[in-house]
Amino acid sequence: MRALIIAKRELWEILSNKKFMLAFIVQTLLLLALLPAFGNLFAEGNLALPTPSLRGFIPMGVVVESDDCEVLLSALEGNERLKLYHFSYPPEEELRRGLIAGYLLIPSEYSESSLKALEVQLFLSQSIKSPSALDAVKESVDEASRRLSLERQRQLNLHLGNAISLKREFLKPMVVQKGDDRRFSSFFLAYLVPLVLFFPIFMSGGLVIDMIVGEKDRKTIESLLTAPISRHEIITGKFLALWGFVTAECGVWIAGVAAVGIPVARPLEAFLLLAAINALVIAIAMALALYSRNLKEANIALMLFYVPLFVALIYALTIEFFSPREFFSYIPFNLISRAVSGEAFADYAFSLIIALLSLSALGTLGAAAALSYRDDIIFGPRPSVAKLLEDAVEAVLSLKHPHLASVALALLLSPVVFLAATAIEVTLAVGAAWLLGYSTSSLYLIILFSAAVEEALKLLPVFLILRKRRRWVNTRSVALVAATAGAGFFLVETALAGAIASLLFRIPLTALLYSRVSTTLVMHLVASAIAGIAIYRRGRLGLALLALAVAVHTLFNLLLVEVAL
Amino acid sequence: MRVMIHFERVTKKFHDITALQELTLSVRKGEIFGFVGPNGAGKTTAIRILCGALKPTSGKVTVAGMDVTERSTEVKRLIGYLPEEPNLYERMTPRQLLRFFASLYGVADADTRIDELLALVGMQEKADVRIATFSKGMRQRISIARALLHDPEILILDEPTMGLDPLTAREIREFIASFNGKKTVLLCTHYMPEADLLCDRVGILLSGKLVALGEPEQLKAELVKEGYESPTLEDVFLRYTRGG
Repeated sequence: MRALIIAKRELWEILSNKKFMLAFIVQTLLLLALLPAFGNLFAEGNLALPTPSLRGFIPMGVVVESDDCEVLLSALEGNERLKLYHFSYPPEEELRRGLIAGYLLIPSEYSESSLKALEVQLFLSQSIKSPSALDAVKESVDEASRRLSLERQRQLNLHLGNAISLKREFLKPMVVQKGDDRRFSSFFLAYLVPLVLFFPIFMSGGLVIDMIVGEKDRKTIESLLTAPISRHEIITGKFLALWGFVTAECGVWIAGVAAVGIPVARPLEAFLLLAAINALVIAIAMALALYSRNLKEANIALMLFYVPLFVALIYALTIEFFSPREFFSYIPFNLISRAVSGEAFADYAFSLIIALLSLSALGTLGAAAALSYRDDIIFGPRPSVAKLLEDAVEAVLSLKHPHLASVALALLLSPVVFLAATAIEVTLAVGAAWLLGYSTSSLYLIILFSAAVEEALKLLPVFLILRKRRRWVNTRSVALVAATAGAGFFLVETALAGAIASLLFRIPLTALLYSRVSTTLVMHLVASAIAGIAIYRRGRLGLALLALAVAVHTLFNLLLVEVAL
Repeated sequence: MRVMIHFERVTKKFHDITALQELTLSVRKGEIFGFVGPNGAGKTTAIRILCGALKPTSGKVTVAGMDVTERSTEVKRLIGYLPEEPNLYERMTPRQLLRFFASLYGVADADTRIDELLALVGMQEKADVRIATFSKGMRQRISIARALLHDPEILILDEPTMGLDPLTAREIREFIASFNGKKTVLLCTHYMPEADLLCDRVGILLSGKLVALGEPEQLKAELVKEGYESPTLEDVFLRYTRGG
């Protein structure tokens, strides 16, 4: 409860800061004045945004009213760039929601056995003119037209020119109609409005710095530290004030957006997602500010955090807007976009993301509180990142149960190991390609290198435990830690592979998971356990076991490459 | 007399720097104890450990028999701390600031206590004026009120008169003297006449080590034996810090 006393004071501090409050009011008024103006601009459909190159399928609706359109349908089905969805009605709603890139209407008067000129209509969005979709449909229509012309020429010995003409229609299906006839393009609702709702988060940096570094800088922290309140209560109190204020700000902005007549389809979901993202961003910003030596350093640290975050936000919204994929249902930024624009998302994805963000925020807040207990963080001299990591390893190894501590360490180090392994493998691959060219021998060399690098790096937790807690270790426990490190590596790799596979190749996540669990996971568990025992045993046996682990991994990779080729 | 504060072989290191080295020291209940030493001697570090703001690298500090590290919250309730710099939340008024700390310390009937303390330090007329407009002396008075807010048994005063005009410094000294026998006071100071005037006993700290400990008169008498004529506490300080 004492955390609430701190939260109340900090909130008072924010609200009594006239300059900050004035900036907040001006920003809100500007936002509410400008957003409707932008909304009107985009509603006119004068935005010619190209769809970027689509490597996968272009979702295309087909409404077949004709009974005689076999040639055209087979040309459309034969086009690898198109994925056809048949509708019995004009799918304008689906087009508005971005589920299809357009739809082709084959009218009832279209008859391939007749000799009259045939016409089909392609309906595209006026807000987003999709050249890729148009090109792909045009390609198929031309193909069908050629085939029909040849057929007619063969049967009747007549040259009739193009059999089918394609008529393009630019509709405004991507526009939401409201009761008072106001229109908003999907670009405005799914891109600009969500982007604006993130502004309070990006403006929270100044508050974090003032609350954390300012307190250290003004030395008022000393009075707090000598009061009967624990440091985690101080950190929690400050977090609650910041999070409460920034989230309330988001709430005001959502309400404001709705108040000026811009429809927010699911305001509660959008608000909850923003609240969860706020929690994680603020917790990370607080940890960075705590680690900073002074105001200048904190400003730089937070800039280095917020700028990539903003780029990630723009990138995620842009990619999803122009090339929707299932994967984006799991990116928090995109979920907010969907909640605002009314595009569908699975309830479980929403709950999962809220839970993951909240847990990550709690974990980061815990790390920030742990930092605040360090005398060198509060009073200096500041410890190096290496020293912090070493102390973190020591803290994990201080858990009561040795097996639990070892397993936790192996899992926590997995992302670090994976990133290091990827960086080394990419460097080695570039080096091998440069030395040997793009040849089979360089491919085999890369496969061997990658296996050796991964097996060596996965041993990091085993190495640390052997150095710091050798008394814990026997053959069985070392195999367990190493196998856990292998499993951790697999998890990080699968998450990334899942993202790439879903983005580029549209492979369903579940299929990917099933196939990898039954193959790659088994390989990582076995090879890592062998490598772990190898460095525990050392000597000739150790070397032989290490070679065996690398051999298992290499053979597996070779097998994968063979299957892929 | 009962020991109120006890340092038992306390060492504090900041990475490679040793700020305190095997400090062993006891302060008795009701005593005004002077902690003197040059800048960087480790006085503030010792005080911060005592207040629970820092953790010792090794050794143990007890307050009223309770370990400062293990029973931090209970110990903090016994201590009123006046930091070297009267750094206060500038946007607040004295009344708001005292209310905030009163809620942290769980002070009963806080408004009455705040009025009493503001009257005691002569700040009742400025009770609702923003601290940002105050002079250093006024801030020091508010800091003293804050330290006394929960009526602590122990007062830790780090350079309480530093940078103050002679009149305010004198008032604060009289204030400290009034605690004699009523509260245990640990006074950190550079100003030797102040320590001589106020303290029952004095400990001289040099490079993190306690080099001398005793009553001012006793320390001065030792210098007389060494051939000094009418030595002052400043002579004692210089004798230990300069080595003669």
